[in-house]
Amino acid sequence: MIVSTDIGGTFTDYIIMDSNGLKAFKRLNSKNLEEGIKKEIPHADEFHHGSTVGINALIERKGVDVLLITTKGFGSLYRIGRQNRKEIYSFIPTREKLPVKKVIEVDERISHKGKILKELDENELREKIEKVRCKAAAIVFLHSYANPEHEIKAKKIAEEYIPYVFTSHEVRREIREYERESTTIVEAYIYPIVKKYLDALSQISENFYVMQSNGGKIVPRYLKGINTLMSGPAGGVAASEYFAHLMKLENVITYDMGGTSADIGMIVKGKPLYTSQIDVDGIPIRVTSMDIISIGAGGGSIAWLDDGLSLKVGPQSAGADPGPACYARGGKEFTVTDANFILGILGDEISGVKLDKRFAENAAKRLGDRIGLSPQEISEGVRKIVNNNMALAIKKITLSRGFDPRNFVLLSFGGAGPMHACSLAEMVGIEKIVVPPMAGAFSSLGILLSPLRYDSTITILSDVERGLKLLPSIIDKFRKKVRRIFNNYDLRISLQMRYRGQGHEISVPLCENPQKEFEMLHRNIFGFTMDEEIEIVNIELVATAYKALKIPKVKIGENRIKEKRVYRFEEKIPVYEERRFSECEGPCIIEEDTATVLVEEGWYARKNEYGAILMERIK
Amino acid sequence: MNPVEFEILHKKLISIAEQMGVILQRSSYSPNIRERMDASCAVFLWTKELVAQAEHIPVHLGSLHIPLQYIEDFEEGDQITLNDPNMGGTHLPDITLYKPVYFKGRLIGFVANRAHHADIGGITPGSMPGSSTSIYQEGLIIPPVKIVRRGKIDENILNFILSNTRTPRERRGDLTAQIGTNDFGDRKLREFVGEYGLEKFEEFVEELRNYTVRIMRHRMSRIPEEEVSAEDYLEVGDSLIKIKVRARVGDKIYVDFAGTSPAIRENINAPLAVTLSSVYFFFRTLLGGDIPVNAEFYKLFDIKVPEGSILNPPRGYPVVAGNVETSQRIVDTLLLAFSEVMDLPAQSHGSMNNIAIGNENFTYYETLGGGAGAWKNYVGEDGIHVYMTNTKNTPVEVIEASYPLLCMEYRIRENSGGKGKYRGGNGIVKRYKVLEDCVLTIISERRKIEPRGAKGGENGKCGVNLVISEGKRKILGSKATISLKKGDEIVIMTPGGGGYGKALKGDQ
Repeated sequence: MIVSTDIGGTFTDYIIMDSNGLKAFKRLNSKNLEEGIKKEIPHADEFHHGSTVGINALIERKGVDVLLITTKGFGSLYRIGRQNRKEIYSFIPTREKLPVKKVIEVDERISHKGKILKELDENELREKIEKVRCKAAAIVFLHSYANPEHEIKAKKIAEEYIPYVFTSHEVRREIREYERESTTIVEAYIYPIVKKYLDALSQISENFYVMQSNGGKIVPRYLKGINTLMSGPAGGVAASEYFAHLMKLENVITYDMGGTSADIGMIVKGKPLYTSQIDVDGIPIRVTSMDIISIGAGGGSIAWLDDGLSLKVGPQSAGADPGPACYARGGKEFTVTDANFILGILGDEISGVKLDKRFAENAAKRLGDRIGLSPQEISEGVRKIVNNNMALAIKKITLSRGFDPRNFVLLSFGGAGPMHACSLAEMVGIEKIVVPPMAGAFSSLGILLSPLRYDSTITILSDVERGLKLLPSIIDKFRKKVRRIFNNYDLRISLQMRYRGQGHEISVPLCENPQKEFEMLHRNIFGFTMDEEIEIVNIELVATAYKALKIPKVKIGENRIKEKRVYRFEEKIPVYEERRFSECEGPCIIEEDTATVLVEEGWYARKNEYGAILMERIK
Repeated sequence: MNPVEFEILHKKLISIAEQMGVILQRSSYSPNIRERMDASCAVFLWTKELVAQAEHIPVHLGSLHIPLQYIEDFEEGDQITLNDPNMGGTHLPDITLYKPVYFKGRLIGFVANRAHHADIGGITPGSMPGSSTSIYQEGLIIPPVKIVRRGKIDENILNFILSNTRTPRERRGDLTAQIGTNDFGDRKLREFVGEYGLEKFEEFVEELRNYTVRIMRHRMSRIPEEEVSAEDYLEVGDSLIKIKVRARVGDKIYVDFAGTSPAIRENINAPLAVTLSSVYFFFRTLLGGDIPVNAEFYKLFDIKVPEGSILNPPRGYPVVAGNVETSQRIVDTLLLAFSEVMDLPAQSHGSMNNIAIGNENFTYYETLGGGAGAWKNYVGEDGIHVYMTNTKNTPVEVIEASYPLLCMEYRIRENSGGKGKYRGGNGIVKRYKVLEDCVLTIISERRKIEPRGAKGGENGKCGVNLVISEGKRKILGSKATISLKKGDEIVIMTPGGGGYGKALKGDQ
C-alpha cells in the first residue's frame, strides 16, 4: 500500500494506492497532526507526505531558541531588515520580527571579493558562546557567499556548544545579507521542529518521502526545513504539471480553492513557473519554490459589510473551527460555503460533516437584512463577489508575469475550486476548464506523483568568461553530494544572469552561448537589450529523479442521474455521482468524494480516460 | 445600485489602475520604476474627477488630479505630459502623462501615470541636487505638452526632452513605457464601459460618491470637532523655518497653513501638490487606510495654503527636497495639532535622512529610517521609514560590491527613542569609510529639534551627522555638502521617536 497525505488549513487529504487502484478521502484536521495521521495510517509500504509543521511553527512562532552569530557592527541588522514597513497608512509602523533569542557579534571581516580584511577572533567567539543556552545557531557573516571560510571555522566552534548549527553559505549561498540572514534564522528556528515531527511519522514506513516547495520530494535526512514551507501547494502544481503533460495542455492556470484560501500557479509550455523567494508574514525566505500566489478566498471566507455598507468577502476565514455557519458548530458568520449550500450547489454533507440549512439561512438573514437582500440574493451576491475577487487576482498575477490568461486552460481543484470554475473562467475569458480526478485531494496526488529532487544555488557574481571556468568544479561538487541521495537523475543547470548594475536576474539554461541566449530572453521579456557588460550572478543546479508511478485509466460509459436538486431556488437540476458520470450539459452537478463540480449553464462537461472532467463553453 | 453590483464595479475600476501599475513596472527601463515602483497610476471621469488610483508611494496620493485642470487642449488619441511643480507636479524627476479616453466619440474619462525618472537634467547627475537655490538648477521644467498626437509620438517633443537629460536612452524607454501604460488603461476603461454601458457607469459613479461620503462622514464623526493648531520647525543653517497649521474636522476637514514661513532659497520648499498629499496622507491614516481615494474624498477637504509660503512656493524656487523632508514635517505638525484633542502617537523621527556620496565615477544615494513614535500598547518600531516614504535600503553587500565604500557599522542606535510608559523607536547608526576622494551631501532634519513625546513621554534623541578625518571628528549640520579624502569616515545617527506616557520604574 502506497499512501500520500497533504495537510491543509481545514482538512487532511489522503490518497491510497493499492491493488484496487487509487482511493481519495478527506478528514478534518485533528489537534495533534502526527497522531491523527498515524491513527488513520499505522503502516504503509511507501509514505509520501506534504508537511505544514514547518510553516505552522514559523507563523505561530513555535520554533526553537535561536542564537545569531554575526559580524561585529551588524548585530542588529536583522531588526532593521530592509527598513520598510508593512502598512503604508499607519502612524504605528510594524514589520516582521525575526525569531532570534540571543546575538553574538564577532570580530571578523571579509570583502565583497572574498578577501579576508580581518581574521575571525575565535577566542572571542568561544568566550561568548560558552554562556549561551540555545537549541540552534545561525551563523551569518558579511560576504560569506564570496568566501565561507569564517563561517566554516565558527561552525566548528559553535557545534561544541549548540545542538543544531546552520551557516548562511550552506543554507543559501547568495548576495544580500538581510535575506540570507532571515533565511538562515528561519532554518535554524524550524528545522529541529520539522525533524522531530518527521521522526515521529517515519514509523509509518521505511520508504518515507517528504514534499518540498520546489515540486520534488526528498528523504528526510537531506531535507531543509525552509524547503517544506510551500510543500502542500507545490503538490497541487506538481500534479497539474503531470496532468498537463498527460492531456497535452501547454498553458495552464492552476486554481486550488480550499477552505481558507485560493492558490494560483501557472504552467507555461508544459513547465511550472518558479520563484526564488517566498514571503511568510513578511519574512523573506530565499528558496527555490514553485511560484504560487495565495489569495484570501476560500469556502470559509466570511462575508461582511464595511462602514460604508459595501459588501465584502474575505480575507477572514471561519477555518475548520468553528467553520461556516452550516457546519452548526457555533459559526455565526455567513461564508462562501453557506452561499453554495443555500443555492443547492452543495449537498447535505461535505467530507463527513453534516450541513444544516437553518443555520446557513439565519446567518444569511442577519447579514442580508442590513442591506435589504434576501438569503438567495445575498448568496448569489457573495458568490459573484468572491469570483470577481479571484478573477481580478488571476488577471493581475498573469499580467505581472507577462501572460494573457485567455490563452490558458483553467485547471480547477481543491474542495471548493470546481464549484466556482465556470463563473471564474467566464470572468477571466477562459474557454476551457479541466477538473482532475480526486480534485479535492489533488495536492496529495501531486505529492504521490512528483519526482525526487535536490537543488542548490550558488552566487559567483562574475563576468561570463570567468563564471564558465568556475562551472566544472561547482558541478563536480554538486554531483558528489547528489550521489549520496539518489541514483539515476537528470541534472539541469541554469545561470542567473543580468546586465551589470541591474537589480534582477534572468534564468538562462546552460548552453553553448549563454550571452546570446540571455540577450534573446531579455528582449522577449523586456523588449530591449543593452550595451552593458553581462554578468553571472548565481548558478542554479537541479537534480531530479522520477519514480515510475502511473495514473490508472478509467472506464467511461455509465451516465446515471443520482437525484434532482433544487438549484438557485428555481429549477431542479440533475446531480451525478462522479463514478457514474460520463457527460452532460449544464446546469448540472457532479459529486465526488472530495469535491463538488458545478457545470453552469452554457457549459458542456465530459469525462476523459484519465478520470478528468473537461468543461467547455457551448458556442 | 445594488450593493453586490457596486462592489464588483468598484473593484474592477480600481483593478484598472492596479493593472496599469503592473504594465508600467514590467515595461519600464530603469530600476527605480521597475524595482522600487516609484510610480502611480490613476483613472479619472470625463469631469476630470478621480475615480480610482493605485499609488505606490504616499507622496503621489493627492496630486495626480491637479495638473488635469491645466489640460484643456486635447483630442482623441493624444497624450499630454508635464512635470511643472507649479502645475501639480511633485518635483521635476516625477513626469506625468495623461490620456483622454473616448467611447463611441464621447469623452468618458482620462487615464494617467506618474513615474520618477532617474535624471531630468540640472546641476547634478540624478537631478536631486543637495544645494540647489533655484528650480532651474534642478532640471528641465515641462509645461503641459502633447507628447502623443492622435496616436503618434511627437518625436520633436520627445527629442527635446531627451536632449535635456544625461541618460536619454533610459528616458526614452521609460517614457515609451508610460505611453504604453496609458494606452493599456485607455483600452481597459473602454472595455469596462463597453461591458456595462454608459448609463450603468454613471449610475455607479453616483453610488461611488454616496459611498465615499458615507464612509468618510462615519469616520469623521469620531474626530472631536474643536479647532486645533500647532507649530513645528524645519532646520536651515542657524535658523528655523516655521510650519503653522490650524485645523478642524466638521462637515468638512478644514486645514489652514496661515502663519507658515515664506519660501526660501534652500530646496526644501514643498510644491502645493506635495503639501496637499501630506495633508491627505495624514487624514487617510487617521481615518483608515481602506478609505477609497477619489474626487469625493478630496471634496471633503478645505485646505488653505498661503501663496509664497514654503508650502506653496512662487515659480523659480528650488523644491527638490520638499517631498522628502518638508512633507514629513507637515504630517508631524498635524499629528501634534490633533494630539490636543485626541489620543495619538508621539512624533516619529520625521526625516528621510538623505545621503549622497559620489565623484565623477560613481553616485550613491540612499535614505535611512529612524525611530517611530510610541503609542499606548505600542513600543515604537526601531530603524524604520515613516509617513511619506517606504523605500527599501540598499544591502550592505550590494553597496560594497557597487561603490568604493566600506560599511563599518549598520545597527540600531540603542537608547535613542524617547523614554516613556511605552518607549519611542530607536534610530539607526550607519558608518561608512570612503575608499576614494569624493563629495558627501546630506539633507536631513531633526538634528536640532527633538521628535516630541506624547502624554508625558520623553522626546526622541536628535540625529547626528559627523565625519572623521585623520582621527578628528567634525559635526555637520542638518544639511551639508563636504569634500572627503580617501579613508575618511562618515557616521550618520538617525533620530529616535518620541515616547508615550510617563515612564515609571520598570518601564523601558
